[in-house]
Amino acid sequence: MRKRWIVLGVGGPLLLGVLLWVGDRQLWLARCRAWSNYHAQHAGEGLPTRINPDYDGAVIPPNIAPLNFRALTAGRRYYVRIAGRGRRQPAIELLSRSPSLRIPERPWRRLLEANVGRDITIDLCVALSSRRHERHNPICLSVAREPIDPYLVNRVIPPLYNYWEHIEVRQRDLRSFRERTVVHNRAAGNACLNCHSFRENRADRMTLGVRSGTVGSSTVMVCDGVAEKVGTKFGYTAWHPSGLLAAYSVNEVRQFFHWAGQEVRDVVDLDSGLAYYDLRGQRAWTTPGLNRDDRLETYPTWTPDGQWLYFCSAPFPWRNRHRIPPENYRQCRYDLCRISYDVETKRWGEPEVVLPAAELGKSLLLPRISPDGRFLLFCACDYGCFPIYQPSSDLYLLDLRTGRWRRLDVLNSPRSESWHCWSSNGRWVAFSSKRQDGLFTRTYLSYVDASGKTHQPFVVPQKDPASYDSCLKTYTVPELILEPVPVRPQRLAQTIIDPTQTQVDSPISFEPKAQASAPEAAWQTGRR
Amino acid sequence: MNAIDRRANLLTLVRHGAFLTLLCLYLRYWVTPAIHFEAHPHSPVFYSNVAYLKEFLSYPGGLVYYLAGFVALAYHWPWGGPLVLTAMVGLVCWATDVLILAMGGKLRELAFGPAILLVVALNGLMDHPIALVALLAALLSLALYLALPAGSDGARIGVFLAVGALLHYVAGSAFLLFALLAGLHELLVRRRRLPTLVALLSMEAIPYLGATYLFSTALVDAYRRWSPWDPTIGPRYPLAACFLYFPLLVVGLSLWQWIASRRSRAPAEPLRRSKSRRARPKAAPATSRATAPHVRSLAGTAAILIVAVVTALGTFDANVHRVLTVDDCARRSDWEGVLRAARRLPMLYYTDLVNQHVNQALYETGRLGDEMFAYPQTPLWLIVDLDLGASPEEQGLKMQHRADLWFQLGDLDLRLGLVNEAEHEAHEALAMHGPHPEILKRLALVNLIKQQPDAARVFLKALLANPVYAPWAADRLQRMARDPSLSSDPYIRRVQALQCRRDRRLPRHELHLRCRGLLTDNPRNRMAFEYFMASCLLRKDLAGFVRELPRLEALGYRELPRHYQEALLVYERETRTIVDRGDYAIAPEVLQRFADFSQAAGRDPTALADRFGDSYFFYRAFGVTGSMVPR
Repeated sequence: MRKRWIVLGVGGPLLLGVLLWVGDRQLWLARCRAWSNYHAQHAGEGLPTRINPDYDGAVIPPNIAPLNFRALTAGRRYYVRIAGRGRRQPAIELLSRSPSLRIPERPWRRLLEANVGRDITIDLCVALSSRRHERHNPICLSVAREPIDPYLVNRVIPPLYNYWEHIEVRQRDLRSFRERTVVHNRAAGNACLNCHSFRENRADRMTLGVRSGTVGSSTVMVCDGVAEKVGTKFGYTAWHPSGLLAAYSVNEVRQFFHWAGQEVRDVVDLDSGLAYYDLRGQRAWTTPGLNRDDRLETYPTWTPDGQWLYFCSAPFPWRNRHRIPPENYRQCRYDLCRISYDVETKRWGEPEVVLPAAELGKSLLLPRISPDGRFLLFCACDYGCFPIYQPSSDLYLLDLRTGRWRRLDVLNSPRSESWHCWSSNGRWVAFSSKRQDGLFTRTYLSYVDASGKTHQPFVVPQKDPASYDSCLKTYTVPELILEPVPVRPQRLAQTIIDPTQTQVDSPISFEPKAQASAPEAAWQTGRR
Repeated sequence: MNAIDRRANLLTLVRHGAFLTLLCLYLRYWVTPAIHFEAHPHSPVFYSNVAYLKEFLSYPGGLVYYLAGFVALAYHWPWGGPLVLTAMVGLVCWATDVLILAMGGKLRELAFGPAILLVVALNGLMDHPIALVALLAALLSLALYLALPAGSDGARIGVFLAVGALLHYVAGSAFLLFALLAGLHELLVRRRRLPTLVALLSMEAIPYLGATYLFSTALVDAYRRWSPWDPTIGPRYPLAACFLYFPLLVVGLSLWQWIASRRSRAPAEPLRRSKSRRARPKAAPATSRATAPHVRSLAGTAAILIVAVVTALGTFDANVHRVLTVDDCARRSDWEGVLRAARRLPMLYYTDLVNQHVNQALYETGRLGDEMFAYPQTPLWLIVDLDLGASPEEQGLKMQHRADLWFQLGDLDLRLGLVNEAEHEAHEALAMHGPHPEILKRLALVNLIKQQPDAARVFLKALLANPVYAPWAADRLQRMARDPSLSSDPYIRRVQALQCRRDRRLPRHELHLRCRGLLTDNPRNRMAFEYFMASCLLRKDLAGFVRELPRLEALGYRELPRHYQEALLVYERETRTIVDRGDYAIAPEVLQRFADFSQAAGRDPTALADRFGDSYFFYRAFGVTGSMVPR
């Protein structure tokens, strides 16, 4: 008897609570559906959509993770219906008390699969009270036919000046929200982990530049899953499609700071040149065409056939290399150049200018060629060699077949755009942009059709749609790859701190370094 | 439980209560942990969002930092820190008592040993509770392990490995202490070889396996993170003593038992755990029960309290405390507090940072031109100079050693109008120390001043996840909804008006050039003017000083500050010229003092320091202020 009362006393209210909750939810769902259906028949009468991140009009890959978002209108309940055009298409319905709307992964995947090559719409209805609601115009997305490479490798750091503590290279699975560390400098002697690069969107060949006062400056090279350390630091690196050599820049970099203006930091290459590392002979070489005394060369990139190396080159503009910044650093602008190479005979041609800086009146940097070899994506900024610190930096596309270039207005913003890469099928580009706030770099993705037309970009989605709003890290150097990095983070870190390395003499050396003042000192000596 | 046991427990309770109450009062009124918590960039911080937590899940010991950050939230309130620290020290005492009971229950007064060592650590500016939380985690895990029923070796090894691995993940190298104590207990008390071997081997194996196969951490850090051997933890010696105390206690008690058993010629029985889990000391003969333990306990209590008080007061450095008070008051813009604390500071403790705070306090209270020579001054110390050093390597080293200064520098630069400099310094601090709320607060302000509200919002939204700073951030965000750049905020408006407009590049130690640049951009920048004049006085550049005097009127000075009058008199005497002072007069008492000083010229500075030590005459003559002269 007593037991029964206990069961009734505890179970009863519990059951009642569950029933009330389910009933309340169903009631709201029905109400929202009715509102939504009514508005579907009165299309165009809704309010402008206010969601964050804004995905409206974007073309998305068929294998992208759910585009979670946050409604920017305050309300009691939020109803979302995501569906394709056809009536029999699967639809996703969400009812939430929170404005953060998280789309379940499996139904989202099914929805995308069913709508490849078509449009999907996101209907948002915000219930202000049990009788009042706000319905927003539907958000329209197009699902592309071509998938994006599933992995995105980023350098994740706070906005750095001279000193660093935590630097991480992170790999994101774009099909889901899974993320893993490729290498963290916490395990690698707190070294500064620089740019990473891959061969043709594959992880079988990878390099990672390391700068450190304690474990030395070097390059970690991953070949077929084996990591080894090369005893010289590669700057910006480009793998030859054959995987037999890697072209890289050697830069005498200096950072300095502005007293006035929006961006405090600036960077200048007092000197730079290009070299290449031959994996077969484990030696580094250069050639006069890659390292001219009267020019600064940087940012190498190969054509997919491996016959041309594109790079940026500027006339050596300053006489006094001991002054930082040099007197006319704002006049330093880089041309887009190229040089031929024969992998069989190992012969280099003569460098030639492909697109002079004077034609755009800007410094042309970071060339990256589409896998079909037709387009060259680059960024152009007012001056210098470091576009991420230049709010004027925008993305441009050069058609290598016609030689015509154009500014990619759809991708650009009043803030810096840079560090772009192509997907392996050439239909997607990932790039860094500071458009959100002018300070923190985020990775955006954009669809590029066969004619080279770019489409509305969208930020890489996160599980928590509000995460970018308070995220104090920047996501730079996005690289799209087809398979995950095959080496464990512990192994990569061990390789960095291990004194064993392949001794390589740098074929490029510069004059004695200019003296930096204290703030720059740590940056250049690689001391954290 | 009989009456004797009850009385013993009551006494123990009273003893612990008295000790902890005194400790709490001591922490509140002497140590005041809050002052070296909020002004210190190393302090662990807490944000309630998942993204922040995730950063600490990727390496062993990360969680203890996160927990310490949560605990340290209490430091924000005057009683919060003392209460939390007292509670943690109390738990350490309790866990030590459990260990002593497991060792046979003799000399339970030794349970206070770690507490006394921790008091020394707290006196020595244990600026964050990470090591304490790690130690506590190890001791509580040990208490859990000791509370296990005897069971088979296999079961005990299983439990040990599970608890040990978890503890290593949570508390880093504090696991080593746990493993060592568990191993010693197995060896000396339970006399089990296999669990001992496993415990000792695990000290090597668990951190190694974790660092090699599981976590993103350096191998050396796997063994030392949050231990006294971790270079980021301080002060090392009291903490090291505290960590070493436990194994020494276990070995010492075992030895004591062994010697006692030898003396009584009783067969040396292994100390096995009783069924009641805690082996209690055997009761004394009935005749001595009523008095001896009571007296012994009272004497023990008195001895503990005396040792604790002597240790606490003997290791407390009031001057270091004052330096921290200066920092803390400067952070809170309590300028009178800065001057009050600095006034009692001996020269040995008077650092360039203290001097920067003092000069800023003098400026903010309108007394820089009147009283700066009442405090120690040198030309290099008007503000902290980070640019000293010859080669880049030397400069880099200096910067690294003084990295903490990044945290402290921004406020002055911001008030001077060097907004980009302040942003730079705050970002350096962010990169080196992580997202300390004070840094985020400054970065939010900087971005508002630079009219970058989107960037400011990122910092403010990050602050929303910190329970202490959330109200401040929420208020700013609410106001930004109406006025995105907070242009109506007086502080922001003031700095915007002073903001440097022209891009220059002047090193920090050339303050006079910086200030002149600021004055060129904005002649109404009174702070730049006063620092320029102070710099001229300190560098004895009286010609430069006199050249800028005409700015006084436009800046609204009603009368000449005292040191300016003194400098004018010196200048006129030295150059035999008369400076056009306009309507500004030299006060009769300044004239009289100058005459007196001139008469006494040539005498030893020690003799003149009391009368003229706070004047510019004295500084001009001897190159030091009166407070710098040893007496």
